[in-house]
Amino acid sequence: MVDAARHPKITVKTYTNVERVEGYVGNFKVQLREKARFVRADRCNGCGECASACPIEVPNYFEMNLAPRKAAYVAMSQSVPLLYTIDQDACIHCYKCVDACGALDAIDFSQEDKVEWEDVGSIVVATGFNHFDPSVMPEYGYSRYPNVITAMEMERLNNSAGPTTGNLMRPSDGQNPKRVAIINCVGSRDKRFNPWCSNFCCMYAIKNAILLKQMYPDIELSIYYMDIRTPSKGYEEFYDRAREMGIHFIQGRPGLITENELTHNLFVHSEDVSLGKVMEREYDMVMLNQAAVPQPDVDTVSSVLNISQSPGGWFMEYHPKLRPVDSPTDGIFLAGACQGQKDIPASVSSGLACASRAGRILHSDEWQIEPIIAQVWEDRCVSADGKQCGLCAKACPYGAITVEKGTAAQVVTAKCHGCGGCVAECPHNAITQMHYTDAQVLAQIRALLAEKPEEKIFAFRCHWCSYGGADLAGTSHFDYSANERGIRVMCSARMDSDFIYEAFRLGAGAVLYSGCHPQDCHYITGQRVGATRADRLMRTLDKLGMSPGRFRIEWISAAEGDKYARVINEMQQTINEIGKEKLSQEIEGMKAELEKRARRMYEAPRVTEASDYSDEMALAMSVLEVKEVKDGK
Amino acid sequence: MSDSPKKEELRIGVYICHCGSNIAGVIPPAEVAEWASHLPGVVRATDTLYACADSGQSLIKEDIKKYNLNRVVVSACSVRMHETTFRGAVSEAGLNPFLMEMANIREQCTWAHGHDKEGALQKAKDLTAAAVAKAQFLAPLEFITVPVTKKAMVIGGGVAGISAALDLADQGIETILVEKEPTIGGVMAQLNKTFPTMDCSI
Amino acid sequence: MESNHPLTFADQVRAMPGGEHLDLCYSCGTCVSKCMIQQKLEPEYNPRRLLRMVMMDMREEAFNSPTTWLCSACDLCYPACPQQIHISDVIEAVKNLAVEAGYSTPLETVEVDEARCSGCAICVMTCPYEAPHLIEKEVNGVMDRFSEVDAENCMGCGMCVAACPMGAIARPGVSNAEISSQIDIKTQNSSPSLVVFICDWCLRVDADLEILESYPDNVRVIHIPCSGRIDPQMALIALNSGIDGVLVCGCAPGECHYQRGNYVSSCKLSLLDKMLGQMDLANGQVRFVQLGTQDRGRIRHEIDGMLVQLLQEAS
Repeated sequence: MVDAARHPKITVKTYTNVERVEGYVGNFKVQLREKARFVRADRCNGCGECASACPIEVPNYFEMNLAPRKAAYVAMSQSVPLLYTIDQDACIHCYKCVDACGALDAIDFSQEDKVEWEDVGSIVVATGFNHFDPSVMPEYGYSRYPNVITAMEMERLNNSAGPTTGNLMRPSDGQNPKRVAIINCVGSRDKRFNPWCSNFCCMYAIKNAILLKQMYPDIELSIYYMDIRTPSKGYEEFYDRAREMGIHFIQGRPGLITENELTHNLFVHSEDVSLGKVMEREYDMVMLNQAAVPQPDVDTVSSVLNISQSPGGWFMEYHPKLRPVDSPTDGIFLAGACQGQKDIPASVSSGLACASRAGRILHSDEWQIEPIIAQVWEDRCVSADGKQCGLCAKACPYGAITVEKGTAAQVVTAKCHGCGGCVAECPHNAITQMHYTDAQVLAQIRALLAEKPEEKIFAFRCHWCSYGGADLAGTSHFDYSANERGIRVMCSARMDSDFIYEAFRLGAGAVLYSGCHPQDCHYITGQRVGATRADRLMRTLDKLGMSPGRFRIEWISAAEGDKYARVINEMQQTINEIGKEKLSQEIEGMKAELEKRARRMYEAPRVTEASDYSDEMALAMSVLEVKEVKDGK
Repeated sequence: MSDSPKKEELRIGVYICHCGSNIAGVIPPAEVAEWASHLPGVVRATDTLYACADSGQSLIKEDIKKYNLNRVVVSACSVRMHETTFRGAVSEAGLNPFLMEMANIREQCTWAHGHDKEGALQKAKDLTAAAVAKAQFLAPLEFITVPVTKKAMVIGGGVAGISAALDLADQGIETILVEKEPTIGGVMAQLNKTFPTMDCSI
Repeated sequence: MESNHPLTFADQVRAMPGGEHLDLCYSCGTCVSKCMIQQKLEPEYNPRRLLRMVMMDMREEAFNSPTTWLCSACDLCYPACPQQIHISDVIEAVKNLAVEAGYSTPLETVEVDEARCSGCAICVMTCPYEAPHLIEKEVNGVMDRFSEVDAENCMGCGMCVAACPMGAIARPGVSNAEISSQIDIKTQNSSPSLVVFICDWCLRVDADLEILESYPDNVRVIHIPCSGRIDPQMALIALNSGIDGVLVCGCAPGECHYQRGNYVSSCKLSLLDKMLGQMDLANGQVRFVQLGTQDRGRIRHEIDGMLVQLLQEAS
C-alpha cells in the first residue's frame, strides 16, 4: 500500500469515483469525481485532533461496523493516504474540528467535489468483490443470534489492529469462546443464492482455525464443510497442518442453528456425512464463511466502462483461457476479483498480468485498430443533393457521423467503432461497412441457403454476444439441430432488414435475429437500433402472413450457450410443426412482397455481382451434390 | 467513392482443419476439402491436421506463394480463437490479412452436432462454401493507426489494483490509481494474517 | 429416440416427476440435518443415502430402506437444499416404483370400522395424502358406500380420525379411547391443572423433551402424532372433568410434518375458543401454540405462561 503511494510514477486518487469513460484504445478520456473531504490534503498531517474533538460517532465500515468512528475520521490507523475525511452524512457542523485543528487550518468546509478529465491510454479495472450477507438465510440465525458472526467480523475480532485489539470476544457477553464452529459455503455452491464455489473460503476457514488455535491453544474448533478444496501450491499441506493441530473437520452442511436463549450458546445441527447420523453440537461462537459476490455497483461500473457481465455479475473476460485478463474492449483489462472470485495470489497474478497487457499498448507509440469502420459513398448520399436525411447519424452510438445538408455525410474515422448500424439504417445504400459489405453478407446468405433452404434455420449473430453464445454451446457440447446456418456481423445493428427479407425470399425455414442483451451491447446502444428494427420486421412479416415463430428475436449473451442451443432446437420444432409444404407455400405467397423489399439491396455496389457469383456457386454445389448421390454417398 | 474494382482472377486456397479428433472425429475433413476444391474460384483445397500449428501455418504460407493465392479460407475453429493467428500467417506470406476468412466448423459444427454426423458434414460444407463466397468479395484493408497516450489508469485500490499500478509504474508508465473509499487497501487491508504462509496482510 | 435397452432403476426414477434433478445431489447432508425422522422415528432414515442408492442403481436396497416409506413430504428439506432438489418428489417416485414391485409400507396406518362408516367422505377431504377413498359394496343385499384407506399412502397422522363424525376411524396407539384415558389429573393442591397435547414433531431437540418431563403431576403431557389429530371434543372432555386449561402444541406455519395438520387444528381450536366464549366460559382456557424448528426452549415459556394465566384467573 505504502509503496503505491510513494511511487513517483503513481498518483493515488482516493475518495474518487469514475463517472464517464469515452474514447478507444490508446486514447481514453475518463471523467473523475473527487468527492469533497472537507480536509485539505496539502495541510492535513494525520494527527487526528479533529477526530478527538468530533462529538459524532457512527459505525466504521472498515471494522465491519463492530466499532465506531467519528464523523471526522480515517478508516484505520494505517490509511493510505493518512488523510482525514469529514463524513457529511454524519457531520452536524458544530465546527469543533476546526478549533481542534487550530493553526494547521486544514479543515475547509467550503470544499466542493472536484470533477476532472484524465487522458489515458489504457484502463485496468480492479473493482473487487463483496461479501454475501447471510442474514437472508434464517436457518443460521445471523443478525438474530449475537454469537453468530461472519468471516469478515471474525477477521476484525482476531486482528490486533481491530476493535478488540485481537482479543476474540463473544458479542453476547465479551467472554473468550472455548468452542468455535466455522461453517463453510454460506451462500456459495447454493442454487438459492450463488451457484459458484467462492474459491478461497476453504483455505480461509483453515487459516482462521489455525490462527485461533495458535492464539488460544485450548480452543475447540470445528469446520463444517461439504468438500475441502485446496488446489494450489502449499494449500493441501496447510490443510494437513490444521488436521495435525487437532482441528475437527466435519463433513456435512448444517441445516440449522439453534440457540440457548439464556447462555446464547449455539447448537449446530448437521448430518455427519461419514457416519450418516444427525448430530447436534454445542458451541460458544459460530463463524459463517460467506460467499464472494460481485460488488453492488457492478451494473453502474459495467455501463460506465461498457464491459459486459458473466452470469451472476462478474465482469466478462475476452476468453476464459487464452485472454483471461482482457475485457472485450481493446485497451481495458480486468484485474482481481471483479472478473471472478479469486484469492490473494490469483488477484496479484491477474494484476501483474494486466500491467503486462497494458504495457504492450503503453510502450508503443502507435496502436493499430481494426479497419472495420463505416464508409460513405458520397455519390449515393441524398444529403449531398440537399435532401433532409441524417438517419445514419441518428443510429450512431458514438456521434461519429456528421450530416450537413448539401454535403454527403462524413464519418469521423477515429470515432467510428464499426457496429454497422448506420449501414443498415441508410435507405439509399450510401454507407458500407468494411469487411461486412452488403455484397459479402449476401454472398454468404445465398451460399448457406443454396440447398434445401426450407429445412434451414438461418441465424444472424453479433460478434460479441450471440456468436460467443453459439461458441459456448459447442464448447459445452450442448447438442442442437444441425440445420442451423449462421453468419456473423459485428452488432445486431448491422442486421439489415434486406438480409432478413432476402433469407426468406430464398426460402429459409426460419430466421433468428440475435444479439446482446440491451445492457451488454458492445456498442453502447447498437442493440437498441437492432431491436427497434427487428420489432418492425416482426410486425411486417406478420402482416405479410408469415407463421409465428419463423422469425424469432432473441438476445443471447456469450455466456448463454444453453440458451442458444435451446432457441435453435425450439425453432427446429416450430418448422417441424409447420411442415415443409406450408413453409414453401407461405414463401410463394409472399414472394412478390419479399422481392420488392429485398430488391433495394441489389442497388448497392457489387451486390449484383455477388448474386451472379452466388448463382454460379449454387450451381456448382448442386452439381457436386448430384455427383455425391451418384457416388453412393 | 463507389468502388469499381478491376475484376482480378480469384485464386482461393481452402484449408480444412482436423483439429486432432475435435473435427475429424465427427466429419471427414478430406471429403470437405475435395468438395470445396470444385467451388468457383478455388484453386487449392486441402485438409490439415492442425491448421494453427506451425506446420499448418507453414503449409498456408507456402501455398500462397506456390499457387499464387489471393484469398485464403480456413475452416477450423471460432474466429474468437484463431482469427489473429491466421491473419498473421497470411500477412507473413505477403497477403493482406483481411483477405483471409474463417469458417467455424468446430465450436459451431462438430462440437454442437456430435449426435448428427451427416448433418454436421453438410453444415461444414455449407459453412466452408459461405466463407469461400464471402472471400470473393473481400477487399484488402489497412489497419488504422492511432496514437497512444502513455498513461494508465487503475480503477480500484485493492490488492489486484495496487499490484497492477506498481508494475505499470515500475515499467516507467505514469499511473493514476483511483479508489472510491478514503483509503486504498481494499478487502486485503481488513484481513489479519493470510494463507498459506501466515504473512501480515498490509 | 426410442432405445431398446431396458431403463435402469435410476433411469426410471429420473423419468418420474421430480426425479429429473436426482443427479445434482452432491451429498452435503443438509436434508438429513433438517429432517426429523431420523431423530424421532427411525435411526436408519436418511434421504441423502436413499438418493445415493438410486444413483448407484441399488434397487432392492432402496425399496427396503425405511426412507422410502417414512417420508411424509413435509418439505422442510426442499427450501434448504443448496441444489434445489425436490427430495420428497424423488422419494415418492421411489415409493411408487416399490409399490408397483409389490413392496408395502411398514407404517402403522389407520383402520376403518365399516359398521360405523356412513360414507360421508369427510376423511377423503381431510387427508393430505389422498389415502382414503370411497368404495361401493353390497352389504346385506343393499349397495352402500364406505371409506377405504390405501395403506401405501397413509402416513398415520390421524387427521381423519379427528375429523370422522362417526368415530369410525382409528389409529392403533392413538385412538380416541386411548387418548381420553390419559386425561386423568387429580388436582390435589391449589396449583392449576393443565393438559398439554403435544405433537410428536414440534420439539426438535431432546433438551425440550426434558423440559416437558420436568413438570409436576398437575401438568399432564399427552403425545399425539400431529396437532391435526386433536378433536375439539377432547378439550371439552378435559375441561368437563375439571381440568383448568388445555394447551395444544403444533408445528410452526409451513413446518407441519403432515403438510397441513397444524392449519387444520388452528382452525378447529380458534372456533372452539369462540364457542367457549359464547357459552360464557372464560376465553383462553384452550390455547394453540406453534413451535418452530428454531424455537429452542420456547415450550417452557408457553407452559409457564399458561399456568400463570390460569392461576390469575382462578384467584
